[in-house]
Amino acid sequence: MEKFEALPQELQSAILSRLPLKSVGKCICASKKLASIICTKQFRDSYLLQSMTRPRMLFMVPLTLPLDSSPTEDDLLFYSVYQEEKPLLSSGQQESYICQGPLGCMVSQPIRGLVCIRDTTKIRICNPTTKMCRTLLEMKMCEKEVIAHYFGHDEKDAFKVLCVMKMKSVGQSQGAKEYHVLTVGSTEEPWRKITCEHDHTAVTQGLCKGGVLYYVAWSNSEKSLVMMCFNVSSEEFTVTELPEEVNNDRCWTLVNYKGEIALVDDYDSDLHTNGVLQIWVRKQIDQRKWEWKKTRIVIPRDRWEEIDVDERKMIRFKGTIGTGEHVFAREFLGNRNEGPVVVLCYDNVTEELRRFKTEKEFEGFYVQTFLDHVDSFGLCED
Amino acid sequence: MSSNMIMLKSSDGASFEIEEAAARKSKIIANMIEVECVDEDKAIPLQNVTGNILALVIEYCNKHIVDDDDDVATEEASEEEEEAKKKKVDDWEAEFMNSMSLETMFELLLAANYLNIKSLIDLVCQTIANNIKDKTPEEVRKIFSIENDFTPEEEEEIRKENAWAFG
Repeated sequence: MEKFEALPQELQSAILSRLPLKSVGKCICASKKLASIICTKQFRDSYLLQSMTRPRMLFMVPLTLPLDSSPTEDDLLFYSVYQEEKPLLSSGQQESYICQGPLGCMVSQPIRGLVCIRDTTKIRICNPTTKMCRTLLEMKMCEKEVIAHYFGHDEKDAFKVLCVMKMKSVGQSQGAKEYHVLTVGSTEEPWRKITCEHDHTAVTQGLCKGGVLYYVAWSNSEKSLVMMCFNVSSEEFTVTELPEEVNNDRCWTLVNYKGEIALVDDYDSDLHTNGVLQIWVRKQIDQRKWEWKKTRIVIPRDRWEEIDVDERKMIRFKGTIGTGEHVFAREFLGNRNEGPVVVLCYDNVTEELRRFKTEKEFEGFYVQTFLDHVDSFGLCED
Repeated sequence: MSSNMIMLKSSDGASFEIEEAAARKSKIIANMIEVECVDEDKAIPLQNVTGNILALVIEYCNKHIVDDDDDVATEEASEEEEEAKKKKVDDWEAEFMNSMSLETMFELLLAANYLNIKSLIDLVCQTIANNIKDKTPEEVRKIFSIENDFTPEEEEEIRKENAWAFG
């Protein structure tokens, strides 16, 4: 037997599902038979599951374009590599460009291979690798404006977008907010207004985990920061208190820390100078109770000082990956807005600190780094 | 650890002696042993696997049963030792697959599938996939002996639809 096609179809699928997305895209063009295997829902579902065992680190860089270029140009670069495979930051490289819109845009954390991109009131769901995009129905704004958008998945089959709006005439934390939800579907789904008894102003980006969207918000009634938990399936909000030390003076971000949600101060100077980072980890006590546990990541002094001072200054904690390593990435590309992205991986157990550079060199003002992106055919099926 | 030996017989009549623990890597053989349909004096006939392929399967199972034993013996092994061991297995697997022709890999995959050895299926599928990773449609056709059944117009169309894969 010499031919691939002589294998039973399940084995052909098993082989194809182990390829990076762009390679599968090329196989579609090899023959009708291959295309017919790949273009089934069954293959796409098993491909997503297989991809989830090989998560990617995704870098997003808005490119600096010449002033006279038109806004339709593809100017938002997505570049990804397998995050747990060696050689690190060069295995399974894939890149693609999409258009970010005339005024720039906000991009959500990727979920199951998709990102949600907002360019003022226009919201798109995009697959950054296949460049498939679905533009959501535009909201009727009248005198309102969107102040935050969140992208979530209910762990079954639905992707949803949550939008927080306020009246244009008042400040961020004043006046009542409106909350709107849309289920991403193949047809043009409408926005639905939902109620939240807890008036809040979103402060951080969202992190979706286990069918719940988490974000930190300013509670207008408590006059303090709280954690909002939005159940993507039931569309109900719950509120969790935060430790007193988690106050408004800092720049909080949510990360995935060894499978738990953690709060990190992005501008913690102790990290930049001493390699010590204090974070708050949300630990489950019993089925309905959580507590916030203060945790310190301490990188040994001599290891930390091996890293260039300028590089240390611009480093942000991005969370942990499957190898148990803590990942830190630079948000800027260096002095001339060009160069590779630098990533540091710290292993708590072996106390090893490794420095990696992407093979690709970028040009742009900043880089956004996401962990746990996956290859998927999301948005292709219809 | 029991060192019971059992006999396997390939489709072309070759007999192989293998430790029971190694043979149990195959779910099919493990099931046969469980329901006691293995006669100690008689070889288990494997009608779908030729001798040269069965030899490879046995080599793989023997290697992995040794590793599993090690894992049990050094339960308290440090993370570094674990990592070193994993690297040793990875290196062995890379070497094992390295000299194999694609034709042999296809046959080995069929055998692993028939014998239901999941880790071997995973290894062979990934190695076969690596052969066509980042390859053009023309190269994929050549490597897998696939006939191009598109008309030129259809091919142009499908390439346009999947232009993202070529960027």
